[in-house]
Parts: sequence; structure tokens; C-alpha cells
Amino acid sequence: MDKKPTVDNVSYTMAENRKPIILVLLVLLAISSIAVADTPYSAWTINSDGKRVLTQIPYYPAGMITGDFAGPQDIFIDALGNIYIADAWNSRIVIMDKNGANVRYIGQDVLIEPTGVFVDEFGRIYVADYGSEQVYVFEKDGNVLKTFERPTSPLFGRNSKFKPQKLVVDKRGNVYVISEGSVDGVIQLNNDGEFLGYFGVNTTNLGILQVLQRMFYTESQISQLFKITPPSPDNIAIDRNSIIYTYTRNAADQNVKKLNVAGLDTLEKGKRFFPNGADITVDKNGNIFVVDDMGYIYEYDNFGDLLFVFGRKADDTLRLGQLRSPSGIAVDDEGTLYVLDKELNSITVFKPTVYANQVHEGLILYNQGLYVESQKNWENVLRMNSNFLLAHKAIGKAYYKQQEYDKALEEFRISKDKKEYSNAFWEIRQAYLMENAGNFIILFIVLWLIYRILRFFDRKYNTFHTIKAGFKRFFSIRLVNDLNKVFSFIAHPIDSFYDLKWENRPGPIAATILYILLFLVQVFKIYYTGFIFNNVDLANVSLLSESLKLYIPIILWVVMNYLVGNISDGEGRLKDLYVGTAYAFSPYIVFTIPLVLLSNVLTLNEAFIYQLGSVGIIFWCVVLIYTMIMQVHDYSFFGTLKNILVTLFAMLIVGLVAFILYVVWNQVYAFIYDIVQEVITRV
Amino acid sequence: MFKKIFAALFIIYLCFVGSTSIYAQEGDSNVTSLRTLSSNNYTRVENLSGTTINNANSVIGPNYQKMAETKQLALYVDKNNFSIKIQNKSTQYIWYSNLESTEGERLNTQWADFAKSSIVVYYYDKDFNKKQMTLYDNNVTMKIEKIDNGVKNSVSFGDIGVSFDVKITLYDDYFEAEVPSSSITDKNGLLVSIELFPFFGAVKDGQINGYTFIPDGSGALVRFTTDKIADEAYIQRVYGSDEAFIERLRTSGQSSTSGIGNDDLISNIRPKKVSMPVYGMVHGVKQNGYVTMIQSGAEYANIVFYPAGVSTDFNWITTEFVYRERYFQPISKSMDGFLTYQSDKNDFDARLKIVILSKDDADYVGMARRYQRELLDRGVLRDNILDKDEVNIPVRVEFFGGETKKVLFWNTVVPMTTVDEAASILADLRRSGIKNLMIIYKGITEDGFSGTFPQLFPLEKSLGSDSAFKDFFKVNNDNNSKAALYVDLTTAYDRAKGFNHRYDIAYKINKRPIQFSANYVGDYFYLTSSASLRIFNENLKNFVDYNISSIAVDVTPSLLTSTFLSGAKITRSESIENYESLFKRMSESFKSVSLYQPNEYLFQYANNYLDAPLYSSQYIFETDTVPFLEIVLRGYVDMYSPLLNYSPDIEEESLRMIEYGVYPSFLLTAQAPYLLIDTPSKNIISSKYDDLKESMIEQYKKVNNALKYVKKQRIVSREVLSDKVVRVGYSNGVSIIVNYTESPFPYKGKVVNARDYLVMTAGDEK
Repeated sequence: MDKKPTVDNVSYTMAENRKPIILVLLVLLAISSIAVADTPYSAWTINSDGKRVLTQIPYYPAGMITGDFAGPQDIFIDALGNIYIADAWNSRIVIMDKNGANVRYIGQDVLIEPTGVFVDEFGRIYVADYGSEQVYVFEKDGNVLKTFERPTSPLFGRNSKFKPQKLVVDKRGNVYVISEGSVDGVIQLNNDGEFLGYFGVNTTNLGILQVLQRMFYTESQISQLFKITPPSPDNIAIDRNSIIYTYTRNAADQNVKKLNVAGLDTLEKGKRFFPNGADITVDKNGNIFVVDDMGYIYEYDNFGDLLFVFGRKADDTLRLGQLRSPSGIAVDDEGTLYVLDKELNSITVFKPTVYANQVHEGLILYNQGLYVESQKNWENVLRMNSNFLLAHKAIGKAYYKQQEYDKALEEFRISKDKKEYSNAFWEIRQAYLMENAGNFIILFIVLWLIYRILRFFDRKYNTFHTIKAGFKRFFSIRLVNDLNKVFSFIAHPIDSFYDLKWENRPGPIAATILYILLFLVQVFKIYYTGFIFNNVDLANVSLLSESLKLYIPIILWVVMNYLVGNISDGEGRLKDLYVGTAYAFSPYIVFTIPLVLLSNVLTLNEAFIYQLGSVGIIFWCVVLIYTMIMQVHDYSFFGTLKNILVTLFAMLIVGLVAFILYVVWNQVYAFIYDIVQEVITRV
Repeated sequence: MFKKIFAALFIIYLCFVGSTSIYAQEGDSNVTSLRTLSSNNYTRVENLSGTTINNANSVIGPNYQKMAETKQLALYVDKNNFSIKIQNKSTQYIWYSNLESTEGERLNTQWADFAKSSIVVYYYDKDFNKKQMTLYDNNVTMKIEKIDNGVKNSVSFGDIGVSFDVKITLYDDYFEAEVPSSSITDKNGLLVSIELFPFFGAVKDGQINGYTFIPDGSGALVRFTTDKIADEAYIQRVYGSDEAFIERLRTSGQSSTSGIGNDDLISNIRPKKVSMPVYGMVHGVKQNGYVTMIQSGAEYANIVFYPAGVSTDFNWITTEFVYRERYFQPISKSMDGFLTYQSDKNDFDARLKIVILSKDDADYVGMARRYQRELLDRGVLRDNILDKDEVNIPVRVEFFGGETKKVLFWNTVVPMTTVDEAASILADLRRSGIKNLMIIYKGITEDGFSGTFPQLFPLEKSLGSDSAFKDFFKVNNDNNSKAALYVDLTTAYDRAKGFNHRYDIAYKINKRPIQFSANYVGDYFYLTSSASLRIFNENLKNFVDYNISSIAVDVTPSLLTSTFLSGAKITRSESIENYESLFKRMSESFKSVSLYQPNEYLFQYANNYLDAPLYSSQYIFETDTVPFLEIVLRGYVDMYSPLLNYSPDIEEESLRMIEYGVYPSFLLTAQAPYLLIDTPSKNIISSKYDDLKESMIEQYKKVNNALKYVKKQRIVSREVLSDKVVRVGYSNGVSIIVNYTESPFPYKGKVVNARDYLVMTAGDEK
């Protein structure tokens, strides 16, 4: 509801803010680990399978420190828990203790627009002043110790600007500065402000067009193109071991980077780093925190695996724990998070819950490889959230280490970790084989003996005469005989397709049965492929879409190939193509089931067998299709190739036309719907 | 005054402490402190001493004329501008309906008129913007006349063609303010809403010691301060917004990256709804106060509260009676459309009852008890407690039966708790010493929990045979345990059976159905109140067949919508009537009725109040959370906490339950909940009995050892002894002291341990 405009409201609240505020501080924030159940946000995580699942609330809002800040841009917490704020528009650094008390200001006389602040172990305060384009180093007492201006070294680049926004300092006293628009990466200065080099440059992602341009254009043409520069990093953090972390906005999967000494990212690629955020920080255990524009706070473990996401932007009346426009995040040694908000001009304090503490404790042990020791923590975690796959994986590893492979296997299956699953399965399979090797040999010998004996009797007394005759009669049934031909198609494709054309054998009924079998085999494959090789999410499989995916291309193929053949001297009849195509899938129908069964006993070590099998089947199908076209249409080798390409093109065109018709129909439908709605509502 | 001295002392103290800090600088003049706002989840210590109320409005000027008088109150009216003053004769305190003068205040003309006007009317201009009109606008005429023990003002706003009567009648310790529906004329159809005395008792900044009480969650206080931390007002529709007027534009991508979706299972990310139409203000704790109860028209009322700092320097709270709603009329599939407003005005009598509180009653406890008395008088509250166990408190155990899951090409049911498993869990609980059980079984309808409502029967075969279910409900139905079936008589899934997809569902005013969509199970609708009633009646026989004599109803008791299907319109008021007859029938046909967060009009039909809120919404301007709801209901209805499975700190939660007099609740399954990962119930992340058993028993024992002494007792007093140490007094003389802090608290020769509680009988206290 919009109330009346408030003319003087804005001005007076500003005025109010400027006044030095002296207020009651009855209840300090330090008080205990009191947690609350109702938080105005939910928490979730992304499991290794890419699905978003809820988790317990990892952090609860413990309070808020509101100050006379104006557009604060950065927050830093030193080892004693003191809070430093880069109070940009007030041109000063605000220092307070962890309860928001004992406030002091420094740099009021020199700073113009400080946007980044860092304090080293000696208590020296480093400030990136965007306004004056300088880096200031203050003594504890607020006296200016040094100032670093734009480096004069030619290596810095003649045209490079020095607009410091954020900074960190490593143990050796080197200063890492994020400068606005610094496409070469982080600026590294030594303790006297001398330029050491650029660090951790981002890479550019060239599109296809750019790649083509680069390939074909002349040098002068390229130079006229819009320069593609890598995005410049936006924020920076440093951990205990002087490892630098950078954060870059809109940089797809490289927005969070953990840089080694050489400035290369050590986090695994392809993880889901989606925050478009404001600030990054690292706790003493190496867990990474990012706060984003949406008010979400992300915590990753030190491998970059997402642990949890929580928080929320206030959409109406502000509730404690919600944010408006976060600009900084910091974490103290107790794990308390401080999130700075430049619109609210406040710091919201979040404290870890029992759940988060269990996860953290578990992670510390887990990262040291103490899987068994961490098991207790993970069990507690699972008690609170049985959907947390990382915990299942960790417990699996603990079982694995204790050689309880069956239990480990189950945990790995839940956590959907194929690699670990494969390892556990290998152990189980190994044990099984070792135990039963003797039995297998005996079984084999017995079967062989039975076979010899039966054969002996059969030769001598013709014992199985009736059964054999029965088989013979069964296979002489035309349909059965036709179906049985799949084997001859696999082995002797040229002869078989010749027969198909000139003797009309096999017939279309058998082919139809094969098409149905093809679908059933496909379903079998989806459902029964072993865990390690199965990439299909069963929840997303639908009977209809699976059958459409299979049959529409086949129907299109048969019809279009017939039409194309008709206009290019092909001899094939529609029936030949229908039947021929069905039989061309023979290898798939025959060999897929054994391969699927095999996939259930293979591990990743033998993955090549499965892959070879799959590729072989497809290859053989392609060969058969090629042979089929050649025989049925009576084409030359290249004639066949041309025919196939033209057919594929025709299929594409039909697909496009169908899509356009679909779109047009939707428009027509929407148009009619709108008219009817308008008539109903207006009349 | 005291506060300021304290602050000054504190600053001096800080200076000293500061000198030990590494940053301390001798002669540093900048040492000061920022405002820190600690959690508003607790109640602060009251500051009773030295409060002087000094308010320029608290004088009756010469323009005022005494219009009515009772033993306790006197009513004065200024006939020029219909300003009203109420004198509380016992304390001599004067209550004022509006500011008399706005000179020197930082108010623009519009706000100044607003603050001075005892009646404010809103209308829509031609662009559908909401505009205000006060008594100080042009062409406003008033006819003020004396009526029996009160005054009547026939006011007419000429410019918009709106006129109506405002009647004020004085009774013992309260007065009623009323706008009868019959008196309203609205020639141009522009009337949107009416506010009576929006500035009644308004307080500037932190001028006086006191607070506003709002019915947010369990109840919240907003102390008068100069902090001005708030930037937006609190405006809440009583009984929740009417879905029939809400058009949610489906924005794609909302759920893709970071959507919130339906995640509110573990955390109440939505602000809490108002289920009790009551609010109040205190001017000087234990000195003066008032509590307003919306007696008629509550379903069309907004509670509007502006803390100081939002638009004005004043704290003010009022009721906005809404006669017309604005809504969005889409005319195309792509959701193009236009804004418009309701053509037919809501038809209701608007009536407020404002009770003047004095001395000991002038705080939130007094408000709650006065409101409780009111509900008892109206018959909305009565003794409904069924629990016959003489020793132990009950615990609510919710079993989750089965859930639908798509596997390959078809749906199957994931059995989470079969009837046999449920029985053995119950047996195990009884063996472990928890004998008093309040059992709810959900997700046992054929095909599982999601996508099946409003169909209730038959029951899912994979969870147990019919006879097994009949046995279960028969066996678990004695003095100590009542097994209830979980039902939702409002949600209707598109894919479910058991309702008419055209006539049973509620329609919005823009002729579209009230429709939502859920992951995995597709669209769902809301049933109209009459369809809920019919479907319930149709199922009565089935309940008897399955031996089900207890019932737990979700959604329906807390939801209120109208429907606009032409020919079958049901207004919000009519929906209340339908629900009243539905739940009346229910309470007659069942031994035990448990309702999830029922609205006020259903209190009388609930034997158990489920998911009783233990917190407020934690708006930034709220300073305290108080157990208002609990004080009102305690001793008449048994209250159960929200499910504790997801509580981040269960010990804290137990203390809170002990303090609020609420019984614990758990969701249990026999199987581990990761089985639900690819189902609509993937939000259940912790429920396996084996996992929870230990902490469940521990917490139960903890809560039981306190609350067993005060079963069925009313809360008569509540006092914050020290920061986060609270003493709650019960009607049998027992009191419970809860200590949330990390350090022991000495009390009357005894010690309340850190993070613990102490039960004291009347004798101990002396």
C-alpha cells in the first residue's frame, strides 16, 4: 500500500544519521550461543547430482549493528574480533569491537572514498581509497604510515589505470590490490608499493564467431574488432596460508577462484558457482563464503563444494536476518558471520547453529583424511538432514576404510558418487570372486561334463530327436524364421539385404515386432544399466517421450529416405526401407541386453569394455544402414553417402517446418483465447 | 530519565574498558557506540520506575464537551472537528483520538491532516491510485449528535460522494466505535476503506515508556524508541489475504537458480498471518493502556501499524476496514491486462471494541487476559481440553505414511511408515516412558501424501490392509492416546478424484480459478468453503468405518477466501459461516478435533491447537516477542509446538516450550527420509524414528518435568526477571522460571541453572 508521499522524510533521516549516536547498549551481542528456530529465510544446498535440497538452517540471525555509516563498502575482522568498516561516503574507516561498541574512526582527514580495508597481523590498517586512487597504510593509532600511488614501473602498463577498490596483504607484506577495470588481474605490490606483477588473470571465453573471426580475418581487421578482454576480478580474500581467493562477477564458472602461488585456479571446474555477488571471505578452516546481490550467503568447503546457501533479500517489511543490498562479508574465528549492507547501513550478525558446527567439525577431520574419526559428526549431520549427500559420501569413506564395503557401497549409492561406488564395488566383487573361484571352476566342469554326456547319448541313441524336430518345426514358422534372421543380418549384411530386396524376406510383420523390441530394449537399458554407467535420472523418464524420441526419427527417416530415393533413381520400395531399417538395428537389439547385464558387474577400471561395446554396437548399426541403402536402392558407395546426407537434410527441414507450424498454431490459439477473454471480461 | 543516566554511565564505563583495548587512545574524543539490535526473540525487562507520562494531548481543552460517562470512563467530543478524548477516571489518564496541533512536527500537509483527523477515508482516483481524504478536506460535512450513552457523527465526504455514520458508545471500561453497513452511501462507487481514529494514543518517538502490541505470530511488542530502525510499516490482513484477489504472475526462471519455492517447511520464510483481530498500546507499563478488538468486520480489516520513523515520527496503529479491493484483470495468455477494483462493495458492519486498561492490567498480559475474557463471553473460547492423563503431558507424534514417487513410467508409493511400523514405534515410545500420546497419521490416503486431497479414502494398501488400519485407529484411542487422521479439506489436486473440477473450486474475482502448481504433482486448487463442507459430510461414514474418531485438519482452519463463480458467490463472511458449521459438525462427530493454526472464529471447535507459534515474524522494528496467543488459549485448548525435527537448537526450543506452556511435536517415519529425495516431500530431511528417538525422549522428559505441574492451568502472570530470565505464573499458584542465559540465576533462595528452568509452588515463592 502506498501511503502519502513523505516530502521531508528522506532528508531528516539522513540528518538523523549524521548525529553522533549515543545509545543504550543493554544487551551485547556476545551473549552465548542462543539459537532460534524461526528464521526469515530457508537454507539449501546443491547435491552432487545437481538437485537443490533443503538443509537445516546453518546460521541464525543473532543481531544487527546499525551505525551512522553511509554506503559502507567493505568489512574486515582482525584476529581479536575487532570490526573494520570502509565507510565510503563518510570518507573514513570505522573501527569497533565485536559488540559494536568502543567505536573509533580513522582516516577522516585523508580518505576520499575508501572501498576496501585490510588489517595485517601487526595491526596496520591498509585501505584502498577509490576516491583518491591511492592505497593508504595506517598505524594502529590512525597515523598514515605509507601511501602507495599508481606504480610507475613500465611493466604496469602505460595505459593501465590504478583505481584501488579492494585489497589484501599476505604474510610477507605483499599487497594485492583489486583495481577497477584491471583486466590483467590482481595488482601485486611489495611492502614499499613497488609493482611486482599481475596475479590471477581471468580468461576470456571466445564464442564461435570470435574464433572464426580470429581464424579468417587479417591482423588489421582483428585490430578493428571490439577488444575482448577478460573480466576483471571484483573482490579478493586471503586465508591463513596466504592463499588468495578472487571473486569475479558474471564470469560463469570461474567467478570463485582459489589461486595458487602461480596465480592459477586450484578449484575443480564445472562446479555450480552461481552467486553474482558482492564479497568473498575465508574462515580459518578454509571454508569459503560469498554473499550475493540476492541476499543469499553461500558457504563452500575448501575444495569449492557447496555446503549451504541461506539468507534472503527483504521483499517487503524488513525482518531480522534479511538483507537489502549486501556489500561485504567477514567471518571471525568463532565462525560468526558479519554481513555488511550498504543500503541498510548496518551489519547483520549470523551465528552458526549446531548443524553448521557439526558439518564444520566433520569437514576438518574429513579433509585430513580422518574419515573414521569424522563419522560421528556426519552421523549427527544426517540425523538432522538425511539428504545431505556429502555426509553420506563421508560416511561411505569411513566404512570403506574400515573395510565394510557393503555399507560403504550403499552410502556411495545414496550420495551418487560413481567413483567411490566403483571402488567399493571392486572390493566386493574381488572378495566374491576369491571366495567362489573354486565353485566356478567346479560348476564349469560339471556343465561341460553334462554337455558331453548328453551329446554322447544323443549321437548314440538319438535321444533328443523329438526336441530337435520340435525346434526345427518352430523355426520353420515364417515369422520366427524372419525374426531369427537378425543374426544373419549381423553376420552377412550384404546377402541379407539382397534377399530382402529380391525375395521379400523378412516381411513387415517381423520388422514391426523388431521395432517394438527395439523400444523394449531401450527401456531395459535405461532401467537396468549398472549404477556406474547409468546417467539417466529415472524420475525424469516418461514412457511417451522415450517412445517419441525413438520412433519419430525412425518414421521420418524411412519416409524421407523413400521420397529422396524416388527422385534420385533409388529402387527401394517403402516396404524395403521399413523392413531394412528395422533389421539394420539388429546389433543393437541383440547385443544391448548382454552389455547392460555386463555393466552391472563392471567397475570404472573396466569401463573401456563397456564403452567399446557401446561404440561397437552403434558402429555396426551404421554400417548396416549404409549397406541397406546401398543394396535397396542399388547405389554406388558415394551415391549412398549422398542419399544419406540428403535424407538427413530433408529430415531437418521437416523438423523446422513442424516447429514453425507449432509456433504459429500457438499464436493463433493465444489470439483466439485473448479475444474470448476480453469479450468475457469487458462485456 | 533513568535510561539516559544509565546510558551516560555506560559510556563512562566504555571509556574505562576502552583503555584496556589495544586501540585506546588517550584523549580520543571519538569513542562512542553504535546501535546494536540484539535478537527480538525474547521479552525485555520492564522498566517500571520513574516513568512519567507527559503528553500535550493529555489535557481536555475548552472545546471539548462531555457527551457520555460511566463509572470508569468519560467521553469528551470537540464538535468542530470530531476530536475525541476518553478519560480513564481511575488513573485520570486522557486518551486522545488524534493530534490537536501538528505545529513543530515534521509532517507534510497530508500527514498533518491525517494526524489531526479522527476519521480517514480512502478512495481510488481514475488511475486506481489509493488516495486519502480526511475531515479537513473540502466539502466534508459532519452532523454530530448525542445518542444513548454516546455520540453519533453523520459524516459526508462530498467530493467523492461517500457518507456514513460513526457511532461511539461508552460502556463500563470500554467503548465501541461503529460504522453500520446500512448507513453507508457511496454514490460513485469509489469508497475503498475507512480508518477510525488512526492516531488513537499515537506516541512520538520514544517520548513515553511503553509499547505497541501487534498480533504477529505468538505476539510482538514494539517499544517506543527514538531508534527509528524501521523503514516500512506493518500492514496485515486479519485471517490472511484473500487469494481471490491475488494474481501471481508466473515468472519463469524464478525457480531455476535460487527460487524459494515451497521451502517454508523448515523455516517460516513467510511472515506470520494474523489469526486474532486484536492489538493494543501501553502508555507506561502497569499504568495505562488499551486493547482494541475488532468485533465485526474483522475478515475485511487490515491491521495497520506505523512505527516511528516510517513516514512520520509517530507510532500509530489502527484498523483499516476495506470495502473494495484492487485486483488485476488479465485479458491475454501472456498475462497482459489491467488493474481495476471490486465493483460491489463488501457488506459488513464495522465495529471496534476498545478496552481501556489501567494499572496492573496495563501490559500485554492484561491485554491477553482481557481478550481471553472477551472470547469466553462470546463463546468463542471454552474448556476443550480432553487430555485425561493425570500425570504426564502429551506429546504430538505425526507419522508420515507414504508418498507418491515417479519411477520410470508410472507412480508408485514410497512406504515411509506402514501401519505396523507405526504401531511398533508407539509401543517403543510407551516402553520408553512416553505414555501420553497425541497421534496424527498423515499420507495414508491411496497414492500417498501428495496429489491426493481432497480424496481421503480408501487408504493406501502398501501401508497396511483395511483391517490393519481399523485396528490401529481402534487400539490407539483411549484416555492416553488418540490417533487422528490428517486431512486437508481445502486443497484439491487437479489429478485427484473426489471433487467437481468446475463447481467445487474457488474462483478469483477475475474469473480465473485459484490455482497453484506444485512440483511433481501438478496443479492444485482451493475448494470453496461449501465444497469443503459437502466433502466432509460425504466422508463421515468412512471415518466411522475405519474407527477414526479423531481428526487433525490442516490448511482449512487457517485459510479464508471468497469465491466469485457467477451464481455461486461466497463472500469472506459467508465462508466463515460455512466453516463454522463444518467444524461444529466435526466437533459433534469426532471425539477429538485438532486444528493447525486456526483463526479466531474456530477456537471453540479445537481440542488441540497445532503448530502454535513460538516466535514472531522478527520484523526489524519489533523489540520483544511475547506469548500472547499462549496466554489467551492456555487452560482452554492444548497447544502443540511446530514440528521440532528441524529445530537448529532443540534445547533452546524446549525452554521456549516450557516458558510458553506448549507441548512438543515430532514428525516420525520408520524409514530414512532420503528415500523422499525425488518426491514432492523432499523437504522432509529429518524424521527417522531411530535417529530422533534419543533426543525426542530427552526433550519430552525435560518439558514434561516442568509442564506436568501446570496441566490445564491458565497463565496468569508473566514477568521478565532479568535479561532472558522469565517467570510465568499459573492459575494453580505454580510458577516456572526459565533461564535462557549461560549463567545460573539466583531466585528466592534457589538457583535456576544456566539454560534450565525451575518449578516453584505457591508455597516456595513466599
